[in-house]
Amino acid sequence: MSNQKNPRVYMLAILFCLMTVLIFSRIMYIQIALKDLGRSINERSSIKQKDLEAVRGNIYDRWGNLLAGNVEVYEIGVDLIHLVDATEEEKWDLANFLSSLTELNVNDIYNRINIPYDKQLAVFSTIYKDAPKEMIEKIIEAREDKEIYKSIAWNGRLTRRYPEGSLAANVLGFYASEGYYGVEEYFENMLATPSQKTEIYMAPYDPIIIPEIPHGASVMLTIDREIQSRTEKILDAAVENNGAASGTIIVMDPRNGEILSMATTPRADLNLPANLILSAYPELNVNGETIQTPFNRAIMQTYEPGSVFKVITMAAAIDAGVVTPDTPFIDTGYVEIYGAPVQNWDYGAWGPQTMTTCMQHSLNVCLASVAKMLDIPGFYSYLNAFNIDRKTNIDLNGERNYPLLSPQNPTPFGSDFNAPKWDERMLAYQSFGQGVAVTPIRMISSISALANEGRIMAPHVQKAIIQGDKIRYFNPMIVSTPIKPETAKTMTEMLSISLEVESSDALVDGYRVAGKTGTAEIPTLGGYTENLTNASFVGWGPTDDPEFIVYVWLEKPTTSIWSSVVAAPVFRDVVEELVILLDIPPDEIRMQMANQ
Amino acid sequence: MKDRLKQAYKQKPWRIQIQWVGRILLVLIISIISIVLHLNVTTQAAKAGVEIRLMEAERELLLREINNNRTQLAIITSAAVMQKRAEELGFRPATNADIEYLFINEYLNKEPEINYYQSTFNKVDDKQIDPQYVQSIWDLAFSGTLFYLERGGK
Repeated sequence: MSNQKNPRVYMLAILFCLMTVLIFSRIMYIQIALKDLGRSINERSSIKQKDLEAVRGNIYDRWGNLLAGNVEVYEIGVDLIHLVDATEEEKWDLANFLSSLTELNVNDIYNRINIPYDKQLAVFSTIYKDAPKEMIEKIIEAREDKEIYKSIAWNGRLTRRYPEGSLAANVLGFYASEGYYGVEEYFENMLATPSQKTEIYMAPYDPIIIPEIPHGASVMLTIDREIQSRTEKILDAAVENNGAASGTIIVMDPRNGEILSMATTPRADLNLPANLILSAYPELNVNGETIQTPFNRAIMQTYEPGSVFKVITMAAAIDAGVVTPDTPFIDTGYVEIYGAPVQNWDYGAWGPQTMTTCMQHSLNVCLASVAKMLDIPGFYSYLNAFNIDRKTNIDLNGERNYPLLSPQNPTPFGSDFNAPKWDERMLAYQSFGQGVAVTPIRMISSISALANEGRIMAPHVQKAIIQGDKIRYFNPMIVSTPIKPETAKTMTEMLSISLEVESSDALVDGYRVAGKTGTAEIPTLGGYTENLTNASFVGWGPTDDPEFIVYVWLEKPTTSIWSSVVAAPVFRDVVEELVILLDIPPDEIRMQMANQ
Repeated sequence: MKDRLKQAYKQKPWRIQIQWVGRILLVLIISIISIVLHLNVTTQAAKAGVEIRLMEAERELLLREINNNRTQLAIITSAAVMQKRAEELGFRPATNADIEYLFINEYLNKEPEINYYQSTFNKVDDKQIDPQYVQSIWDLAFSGTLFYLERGGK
């Protein structure tokens, strides 16, 4: 073997070295000089933006029944790249299939799938939004038969659904990109968590955990689904049978302020699109003003309550020691208080009365005289203590209040000649519920003091907030103690006797209840109406240990203007259901059980 | 000894060639093993990555399905539906006359039942998977080295 070096080997070695240097320098050039280009190519191909949609929290009733949840819906469309080589016949076949599925116009669908594919501008054409799962199952089935159907693609997402339809619609509100009215709007920040974007690395050897944003918190309400359902049925029947313009029933536990039911009319099916929901609440012309029908009359509509307000006047007088249930009163059928003429509802004189019979017969003259005994500072300090001048701050969106005309706030609407303003005569009218406007929630909340040993609890619909595996219960709060416990008991007894002596239609077999009717003429620009009234009833029970308080309001009933005829039976119907659903045995059995 | 080896190589020059071939083969075999090992680990990591991605997608689907099923269940057990079903089965709403009250000592009232979904969330800033599923052989080798170097420096 020769030791002589072959020059060709050296040449080859040099060539390899040169190539290595060349490749290496090219790599360095790409890595350093074309760094930005490389990075952008890498990012385009391996990093994608992903929208993280938060799941909206659920709404439950007090027993865990779902009132608002989420269902899966799909957006259906076609991947245009699959249609690049499709024939006209195939496109029409696809359009016909999608039309039969979605019930959309076949020509519209054809126009959408006929959009030319463009890598940058047109890759996917949306055909149908909010498709149910059944529609997707049909597509999957059909894709087995025809290749062209494989161009159909879909994306799933969650959307709001209300399993109970219109039940408690006024309390729940509705969701359409954000919460509107009721619980949906009031608890928006808890139910919803903001959507976020994140970067997802598509390179398979560079995987990351796809992050998940926390679900919105769920809200458990104090509403009892069964009680709500029954009160709504009773209310709807009462509105229809009495030819009323609208109605409201509130059921509350006076011991803690929990709203068990809040039924109003109208109620839309919350599963409808937002515009159709709102169309159930049309605009009305009231006294020349255009106003929208309130979504929840119980908290959004103020009205003159009439004689149910006498409960507050009498409670104030008894609490102040001005009168007792047996204080005599001679009713002459007419009295002037600070120059304000006052007559009874029947324009009659009822002769010798006591405070109990004054309440029983709902005598304006008597109550105006009692208010005069309290006089202006006494009367209005009690109205303030009963919080008549302010909102209840219930945890529902849209609560309204009407300024209380009082010595502390005599001109809330300005000093214009025609603007309502307070003067001394208002004492007389306000004592029997005229010249004062309140919402039903304000009335039931204030009067609940009589059913709860003088304490007003904050009315609320939130029982608990559920976040992850934690449940945080709402703590009941006392907002005011306008009267003494003895006064509350005395008033309850007075109003029980009133109903019993009167043989009221509000009485419930086996249970002692207390209550008061209220028939109020409706103020208009031309004075008070004669044939149209607001019929109200407030009642609570069982008398010895109240567990519920019920407020009924029928607006403009036409079969009878009197609350004792139209509203009192509604109270009875509600209580007959309530005592069963709340497991309250009749008084006699309850006493026997208490003694065991 | 050294001279004897020199002498042996002079007498049999092919021994030098065998030595070179041996060296080249050694480098080649080590390179091939490294490449195979690297490819194997990378393939496994990629496969795990794809599986993770599929599982994440399935998890997302399941989450939606849980929500959907819960609501569907609520729809078929809604107050109106249940009342209708009860009526069809011949039931009627109870009245007070139908109810017999019994005194039960220490009776506990019913409690709410919420069938809510409890989730352990992947936080938005918590994107990292356990390194052993994504580390390349390179990372594995050098992360250990750096670890020990760091430890030694302290």
